[in-house]
Amino acid sequence: MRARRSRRPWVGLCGLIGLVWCGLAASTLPAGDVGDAAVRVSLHMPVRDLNPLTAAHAASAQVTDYLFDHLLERASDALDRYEGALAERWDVSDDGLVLTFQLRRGVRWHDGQPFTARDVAFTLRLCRRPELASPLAQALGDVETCEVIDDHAVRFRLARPSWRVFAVLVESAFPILPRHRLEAAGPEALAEFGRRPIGTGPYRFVRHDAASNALTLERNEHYWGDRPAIGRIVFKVLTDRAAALAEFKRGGVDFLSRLSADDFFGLLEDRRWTAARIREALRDGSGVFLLPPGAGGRFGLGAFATTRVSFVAWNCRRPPLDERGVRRALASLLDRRGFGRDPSRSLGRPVTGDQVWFGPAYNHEVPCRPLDPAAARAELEEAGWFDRDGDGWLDRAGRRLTVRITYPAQADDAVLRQLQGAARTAGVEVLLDGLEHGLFTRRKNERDFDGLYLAWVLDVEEDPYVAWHSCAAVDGANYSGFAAADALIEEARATADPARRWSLLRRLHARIDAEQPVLFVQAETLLVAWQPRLSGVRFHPLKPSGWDIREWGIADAPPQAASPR
Amino acid sequence: MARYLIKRTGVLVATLLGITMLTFVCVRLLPGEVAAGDDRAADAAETRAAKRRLHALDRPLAVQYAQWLGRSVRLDFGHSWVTRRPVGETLREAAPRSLQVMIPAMVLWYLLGIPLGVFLALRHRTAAARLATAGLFALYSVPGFVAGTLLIVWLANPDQVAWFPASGLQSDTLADTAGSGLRATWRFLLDRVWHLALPVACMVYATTAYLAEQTRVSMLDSLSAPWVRTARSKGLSEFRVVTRHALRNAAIPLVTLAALALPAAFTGSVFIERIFSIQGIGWALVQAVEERDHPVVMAITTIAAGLTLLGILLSDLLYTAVDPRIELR
Repeated sequence: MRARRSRRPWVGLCGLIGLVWCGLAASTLPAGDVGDAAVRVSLHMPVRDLNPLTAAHAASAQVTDYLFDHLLERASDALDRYEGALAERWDVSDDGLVLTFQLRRGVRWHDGQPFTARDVAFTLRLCRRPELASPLAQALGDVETCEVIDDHAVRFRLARPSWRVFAVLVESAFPILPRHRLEAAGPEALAEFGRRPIGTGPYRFVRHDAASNALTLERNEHYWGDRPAIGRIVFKVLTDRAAALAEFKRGGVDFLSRLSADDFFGLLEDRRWTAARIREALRDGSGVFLLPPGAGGRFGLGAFATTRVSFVAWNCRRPPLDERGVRRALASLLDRRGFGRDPSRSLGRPVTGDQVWFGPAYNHEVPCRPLDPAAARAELEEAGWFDRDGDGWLDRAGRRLTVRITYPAQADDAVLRQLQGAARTAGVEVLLDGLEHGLFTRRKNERDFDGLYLAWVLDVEEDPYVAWHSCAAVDGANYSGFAAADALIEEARATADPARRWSLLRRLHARIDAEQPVLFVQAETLLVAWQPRLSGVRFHPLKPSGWDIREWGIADAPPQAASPR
Repeated sequence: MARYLIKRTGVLVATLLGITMLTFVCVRLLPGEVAAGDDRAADAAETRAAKRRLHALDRPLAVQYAQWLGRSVRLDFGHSWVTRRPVGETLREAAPRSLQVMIPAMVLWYLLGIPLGVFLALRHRTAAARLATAGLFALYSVPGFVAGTLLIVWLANPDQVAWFPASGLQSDTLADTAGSGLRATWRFLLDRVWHLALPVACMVYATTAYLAEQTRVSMLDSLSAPWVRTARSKGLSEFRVVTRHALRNAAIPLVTLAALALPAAFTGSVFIERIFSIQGIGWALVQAVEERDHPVVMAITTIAAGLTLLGILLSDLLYTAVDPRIELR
């Protein structure tokens, strides 16, 4: 009897723990089901904010691109042409100060409310709210007013002509948000909108289930444009690379992005496709390499040069990097034949400027400097740097030629180590400082560095003012302090004619290359894989993710009737 | 006892206040910008200045701390600077995900660790026990993130065996296929246990090894004590000698370890949550530190510190139950 009584507390405790656990598990059970066949796409980081005005990371843009529309879209076959989206027609006044948009009729928000010109005007007001601290407020600083002409017409008035404002207004930087949902919204309602957004896009938000790391979108059956074939998209957050690959191989994910080179070549079963052949295919002009399922192995495989460009910005205010000869010598120490830990498997595309390599403003006549330590040494000796004490390092006036490159610790430093190795043969001491992100940001903002290793995602046409004008040298993104082309930049900025402007930007590209305030490394290549059930996979480097799920189909789904526009 | 409790509660509150003050200063002194984004627009000085004004970072540190403290005593930890959601809401969603991993792990620590430790102590002269002890040391030496990755590669990968899922707490197809009623509940529970197998295994192995080793050492000490010899000479069964006489005296170090289980249950494991993509408290903390989301960092560290201090108090109280000779004053 005594033994049985003494067990009761333990049994009760175990039962209580079990009940508590079941309760916790049940609290994370999602509600409802989600309908027909879905495509599962991997995300490398969680998406916590789906408000496109405030979301800080590129992963959010991959999702919000399907939820929201913009006034216009850039044509996929001609980078200098726009097509109507929420706006059907538009007009730019002769003086470039007035932009008028005629909006599409019959468009509805995902909750059924009609889209009107007031939503456009409201979005501009919203991005300027202090509590959002949205970067878009600064980008649209030249927009003075937005007038509602009628329910389907809106007019922007600019303080000065700016092609850049036009580009921001019409592209993915300015998604239109619902006035009826957000006009009277306080901080909590704004936060709630970031969790359950409403747009006019081809897909609507269904739910975000953190337990299964799945964010589900469903086709908007009342969409004004072409009806996508995929009825449902499930974005799966997979932060660990090994877990993501395992999930893909077992069929839990249909489309996997950000593969490492090792994983990519591990999935590639046709050994005739060597890294060298793939690199050649990528550099031949299109920047896209595509192997459909069955061509290179069981899975579809793709590689495409993105608009994300990595570079080292030299601090031209500090010796020895204030000398052009030193900067030009460093440019001859980068081996552009192959980057990364295993250069033989490198698929990155070397670049020489900060305009997208396939864009009209990129100067293809500026050549990539080949690796040439001897030439670098000769250039340094011309500047008075010699190895006077025989220690293997160049020096001048008793000072060794040392350059310290600062980079975020989570970045891949393989390229920098290659540079370091080549610099050693030329007698230049390159030291590497991998810093925690916050510390790196502080050094960057305080301009406390010799060299800064960064990567930017570029627009199809970059505004050079932000990165190269002397006004941006103290507080902006002109980290190197470059100030040798202000007049050229101001002329380009004020030029509305695209052809003339691109010509000016190409001249700027050449001048920057001559001065070498920045050592451009590569346009990074994104490696992806997809399951055989997916069809229609293509790549669009200008899309936030690089692809458009609206073009895809599922092999085992019933055929969908096309709907009239 | 009442006097002791009042005194200890006062010390607990004062210690917690000191911890929050120190954490607040450290967090505010962290370099970097709040919710710094990926692009140059977020880098602009105007944007950074706007964020600092928005979050009152331009006020004196003492004023900022006083404002935070005034809200926190009412359990209002403010709003996340990144998502703008109430911090309490974020933690209420994340905590169950961490607890689902930690509660089974903690139960298994003790269910496996203590009996294993007792067994090794009773058989400590045998070769098998020595080998097992060496094995425990080896297990304890393997870092959690290494074990997690290896488990995924070996047990969740079709190239080896795909017995378990590699991520998350639940299959995203479950809502479509589970059915309804009791059947759905059963499938839901099975699916959840299936997803938890690898993360819980990662949480269990090292601490079980540690607990087993602690138990072994304490038991060896206790088994050689005079009262154990007396118990044996009285003719008590070996089971009774071990459980009622030796183990009880060896339990004090185990109670101390239990004190740390309370904050661990709340914060989870950062590495395990990252590897298995479980969006729990550990994950939220690391993200908040990376993004300089101060309200979330402060909330999690304050709650974890409070639970640690509470756990220490509870373990002190448990000592008297384990060893009646201990008197709390």
